Amino acid sequence: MTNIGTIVVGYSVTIFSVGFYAAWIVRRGVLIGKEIGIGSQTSPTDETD
Amino acid sequence: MVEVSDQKTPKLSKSMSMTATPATRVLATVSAGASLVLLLLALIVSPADVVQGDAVRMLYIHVPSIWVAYGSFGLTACTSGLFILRYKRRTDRGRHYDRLAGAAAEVGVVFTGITLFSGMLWGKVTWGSYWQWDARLTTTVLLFVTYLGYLALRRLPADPGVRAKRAAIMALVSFVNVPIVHFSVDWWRTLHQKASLSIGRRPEITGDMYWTLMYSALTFTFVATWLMIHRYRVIRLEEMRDEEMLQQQLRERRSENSL
Amino acid sequence: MFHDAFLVARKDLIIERRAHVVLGQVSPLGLLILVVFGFAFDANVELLRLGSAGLFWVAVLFTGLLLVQRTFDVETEDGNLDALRLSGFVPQSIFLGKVIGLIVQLFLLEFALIIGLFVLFDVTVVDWLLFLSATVLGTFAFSVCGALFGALASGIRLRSTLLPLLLIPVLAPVLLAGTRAHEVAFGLSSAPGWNWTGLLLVITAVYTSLGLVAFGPLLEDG
Repeated sequence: MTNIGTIVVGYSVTIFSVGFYAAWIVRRGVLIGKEIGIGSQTSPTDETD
Repeated sequence: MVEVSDQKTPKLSKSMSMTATPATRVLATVSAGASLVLLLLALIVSPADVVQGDAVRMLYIHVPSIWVAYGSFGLTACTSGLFILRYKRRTDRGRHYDRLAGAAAEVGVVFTGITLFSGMLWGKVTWGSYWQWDARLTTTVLLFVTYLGYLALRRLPADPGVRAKRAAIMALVSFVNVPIVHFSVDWWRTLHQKASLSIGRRPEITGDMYWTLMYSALTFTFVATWLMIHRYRVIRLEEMRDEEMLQQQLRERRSENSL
Repeated sequence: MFHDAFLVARKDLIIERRAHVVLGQVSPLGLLILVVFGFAFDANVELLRLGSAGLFWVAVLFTGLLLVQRTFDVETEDGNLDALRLSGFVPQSIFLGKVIGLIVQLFLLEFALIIGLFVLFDVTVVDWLLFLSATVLGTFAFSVCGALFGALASGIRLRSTLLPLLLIPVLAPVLLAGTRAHEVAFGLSSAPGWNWTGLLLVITAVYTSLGLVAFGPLLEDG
């Protein structure tokens, strides 16, 4: 593996991982917020995360 | 039928349900900006190493990641200790320590994973192999798995108070275990190594590279803090949802009984 | 406290004597694991002999996990600790009792495994004192860690998959030290075997303290 290639892969994966994790957190917050925001008459959603 | 919200449930404004507040928005902007500058510094401005060439740039990710991870796990241990001391079952006081412990551990696991991955890439280029059985690497893998286990324990179906307490105990025990593991493996490998002791040793970092590394640590800290705050809030939301589901089931049961 | 601990241990061992799980199931399983290692290493006798110390401890690990699981499963069908909690015993006694029970059962298991080692892997013991000390202390360390984490994972669903994941990182130094000490005792290496045995003692001490402290909060609310 070349030096440059390693750096490209390493940085890309890192940025992607952190970004994905951040997006997952935010999305989860929005989804659960909606769930609660709608209130108690909805039956609990079977949300798998 | 509109339910009157429980006193414990705070008013849900739109921004609350999305877990963002003005403060975190600022932090997000700062983090994003810092990250861009970091990319510039790490990939372009800072020099390639005499020996390793461009591979040294991997360290700007690898080293701050593990620092962030250690900090996160340390935070998990502290908040777990505080939880055990302060938690009152009847009033549910002290739950925030548990939430923070969980958020910190998850962030720690993510960054430990990044540490391992970036370390393996760096090792492939510099040592020629993805893995070395030295103390640091082996301990880091065990650290990773330990806190994966901790996160699994947190997800178990059980009474929240029970689960939180067990998780807290585990966090504290794990915190003691990590130095023991490190010492054992270090001793093992030191006894084993006859020749070159430089395996697993990182190079001395000076000058521009040093400052890039420090700046990277700062950036990583911003990002990790943002992640932790939001994760904490989402945990809070999850608890609220679980509580509401429970109330719902109780109501249904009560209305069944009254028929 | 110790008297109560012995009562707890005695209860577990009586249950064991009636059920014959250790002798009837777990020890044969351990021997089976040793045989499977033979398959894994293509019956390479030299390789098996060289790796015998490690393979012994791996076999102890996987069968020992079952014993740890069981020591809390015997409390009630779903393994919850209510009966223990209501027994009036101090949590520390329960912890020590569980540890003692585990130690005895592990000794029985290891006895069978050691015979298997001699027979299947052509092992010879050069330093009996070191061998026995390392085995005993390794068992002590295994038991205290097992008792602590067994309680942590008890009484909840999915515990059988969770317990190994939680316990093995904690047992890693024990396995490491035990293996290194046994290697010296088998004449396979010239490392400082007694130092490794000393490490086993330290680990035992540390986790005994942790267990004594943690069992109180653990047993409090369930």
